[in-house]
Amino acid sequence: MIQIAASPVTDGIMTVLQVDTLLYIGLGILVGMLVGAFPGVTATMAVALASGFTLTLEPIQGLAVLLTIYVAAQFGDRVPAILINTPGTPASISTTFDGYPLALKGQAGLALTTSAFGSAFGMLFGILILAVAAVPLSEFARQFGPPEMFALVVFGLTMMVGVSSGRILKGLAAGAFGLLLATVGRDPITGDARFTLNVLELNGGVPFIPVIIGFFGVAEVLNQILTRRRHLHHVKPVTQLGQWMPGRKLMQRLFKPMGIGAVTGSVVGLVPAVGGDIAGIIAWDNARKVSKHPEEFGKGSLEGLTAGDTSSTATLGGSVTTTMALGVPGDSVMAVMIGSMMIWGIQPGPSLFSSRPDLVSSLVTIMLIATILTLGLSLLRMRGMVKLLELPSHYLWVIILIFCMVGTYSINNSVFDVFMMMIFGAVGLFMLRFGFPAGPAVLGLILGPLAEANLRRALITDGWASVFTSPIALVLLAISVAALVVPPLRAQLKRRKAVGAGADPAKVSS
Amino acid sequence: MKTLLKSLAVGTAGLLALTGCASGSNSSSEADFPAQDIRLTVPWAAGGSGDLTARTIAPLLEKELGVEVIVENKPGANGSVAYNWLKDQKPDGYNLSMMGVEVATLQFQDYDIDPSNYAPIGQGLAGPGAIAVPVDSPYQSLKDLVADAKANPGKVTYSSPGVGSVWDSPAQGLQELAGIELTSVPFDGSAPAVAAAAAGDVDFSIDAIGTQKNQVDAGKLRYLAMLTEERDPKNPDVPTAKEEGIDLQNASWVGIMAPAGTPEEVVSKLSDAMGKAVEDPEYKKVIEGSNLVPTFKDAEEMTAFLDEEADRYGPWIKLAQGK
Repeated sequence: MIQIAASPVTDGIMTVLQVDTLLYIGLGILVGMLVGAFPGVTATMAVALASGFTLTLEPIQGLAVLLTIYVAAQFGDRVPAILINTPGTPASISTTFDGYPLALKGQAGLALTTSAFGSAFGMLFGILILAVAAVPLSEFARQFGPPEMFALVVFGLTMMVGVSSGRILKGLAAGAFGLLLATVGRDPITGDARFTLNVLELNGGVPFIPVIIGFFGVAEVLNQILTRRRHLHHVKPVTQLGQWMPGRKLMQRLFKPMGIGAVTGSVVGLVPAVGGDIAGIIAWDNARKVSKHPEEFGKGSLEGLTAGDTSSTATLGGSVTTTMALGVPGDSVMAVMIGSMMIWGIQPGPSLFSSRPDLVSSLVTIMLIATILTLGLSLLRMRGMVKLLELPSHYLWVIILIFCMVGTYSINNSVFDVFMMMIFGAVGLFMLRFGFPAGPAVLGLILGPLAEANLRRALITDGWASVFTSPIALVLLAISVAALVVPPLRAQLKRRKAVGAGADPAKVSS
Repeated sequence: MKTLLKSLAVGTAGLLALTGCASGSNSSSEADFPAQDIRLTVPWAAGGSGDLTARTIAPLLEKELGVEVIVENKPGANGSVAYNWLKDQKPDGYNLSMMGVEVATLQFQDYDIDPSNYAPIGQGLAGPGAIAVPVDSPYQSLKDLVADAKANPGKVTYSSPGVGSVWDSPAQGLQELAGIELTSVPFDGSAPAVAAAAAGDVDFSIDAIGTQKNQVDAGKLRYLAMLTEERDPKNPDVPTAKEEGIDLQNASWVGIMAPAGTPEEVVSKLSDAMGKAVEDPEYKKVIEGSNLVPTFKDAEEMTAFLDEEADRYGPWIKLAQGK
């Protein structure tokens, strides 16, 4: 191979552009897209299992497999979210908000392509940040101690109002239910059992993934089965509307949500232990606030879909940055990857970027290639995936239910998880029929433990002073208050203005 | 789509065939053990160092025993889901589980886990501990830390991976031995706990030397004292806690166990195989790469060790709960 310039950066790129490394990238993409599309099987699990086989490979090849699985799973998991209302991994929870309504309207194909473009854009944006500003940004991430994490989570909790899609009271009730579920398990500080009802498995808390599969997937199938007789509730095949690719006009409308998603996702991704699930929801709500058509959100808005998907994939660059530059896992997938890297003799941490600049450019190259190839593959196979919906619904229901069960079982090889999935499917059905949105409940379940544990850690160390002396925490708390107070105030102002002198839709900025 | 369905169908058929095989043969005497595949359960989620140990040692055990060793994760409730499951399995040596110190300690935290329900096979590794402080900490030695904690009871904080965990408990021991009062800030596992100390959110970290190593190498943490009998060969400049007047040692460990009642002959066969696997260079490379120490104790030593651990941790956990 001819060396163009002997800089470590080009070295790093060249090591990736070898035939065998590229083959491993291809392998990773196949595995990643498959596991992503399978509800219950998360990227974390796939990477963990694959790391058992990749240990014998060269570090770069091994990293190529693991990173591409991670990247490709982010595309695969949107497919079941859009087609059958079941997030393939938690990162695509926000995809269900608008993706599934779009599919119901007969626009599944358009939703899938838009989502793939949004995901790719988010991914590229995140990678760019990793390539350009990893070190300074990781220092920002280090500022996030317990008080700052608590404030960030409080901000996340204010999203409950947004994801209630107009039904504020019922949304808050659902959110409270989620928070209540989050208290089940061992107390994070004292270790005492809470609401475990003498069920051994509940010591670990209410398992999160079975709950989302129940809430979204199972509940939707049960609902369809129940309502079928009254109005043939069948998902129309996409071909009816014929549109696959977003037109130029539509693309222009999507730039704003893409930007919002990319920035939101990158920031959230940097914070250790917070991942794509929360980032997607936050960006979805942010985009709704600045959209010209907020009323469409939750009913099939391509803007909402794009914002959520861009954001949840943009977290990847952020979590890789935190992991590599701080040695602190940016999310659960990276936690697994750190283990493999140490065995390869790569030690993530602040010294990595100065001691192995070639490695960083290799990582960036791997992720770039993986993103572009996965986007291409996603677009190619989309028509096949949508065909699935043309199956008669009674077949489809059975297939979805079986997939949900097998996927849930495979998380922990646990029948208990399957029971939980069924129970929460029934609960989800109840919520669906009585108009309680599932989004706030899921948000409560994810964020509840984070809020509680971090607040209590902060209180142990310095009392409330630790929260109120942290500038980051104060800013985040102020934004949270604004997120709750400003929209109703503005609505009132608008009403007054409209009464005063004709309608003048106030230009929104948050 | 058709090909996907087809491959799914083939895959499922294959899986069914596999399960059929596994449940097929059942009769085997102790003499010709092992006559069928062995299941090695991992009580933790895939990806941690315990899971890694299982996946590294399984092929080496296969080499020694001549049968497949199938690794299966059964995480949940601090490992107690798998431990409970193992208790109810037939004690014939075909169902094993990885084990950690929780087997000895969960009983003190209202879990229904009794060490006497298990027959230890052996230990596979150890992760000796250390006390480390943020690099700009005023403490230059463990004595400084103890003196400060004496002057300001309850003001000095440390991060732990969780109440009753393998690293929170020795911190209770430290308080008892030094006659001081510290404040524990429990995190959700070792990685965030060590990171919190590196960021200066707490005054010190008590965890495995290997877990802290990343942050020490990065210049964010500084080892204050090792919780080992002798000085750590890789860090010869760092004194042991014992040298500083506090006779405290602790190490995390991972082992393998079978249900109680497994025939002695079977246990010793498994234990021998495990001993050889731990000596294997392949195993050593992986474990040392994770900054852990390959360590072997045979079945007999391990049984005694498990009791010792219970005796050691019990009072520490009670101490922590009393606060």
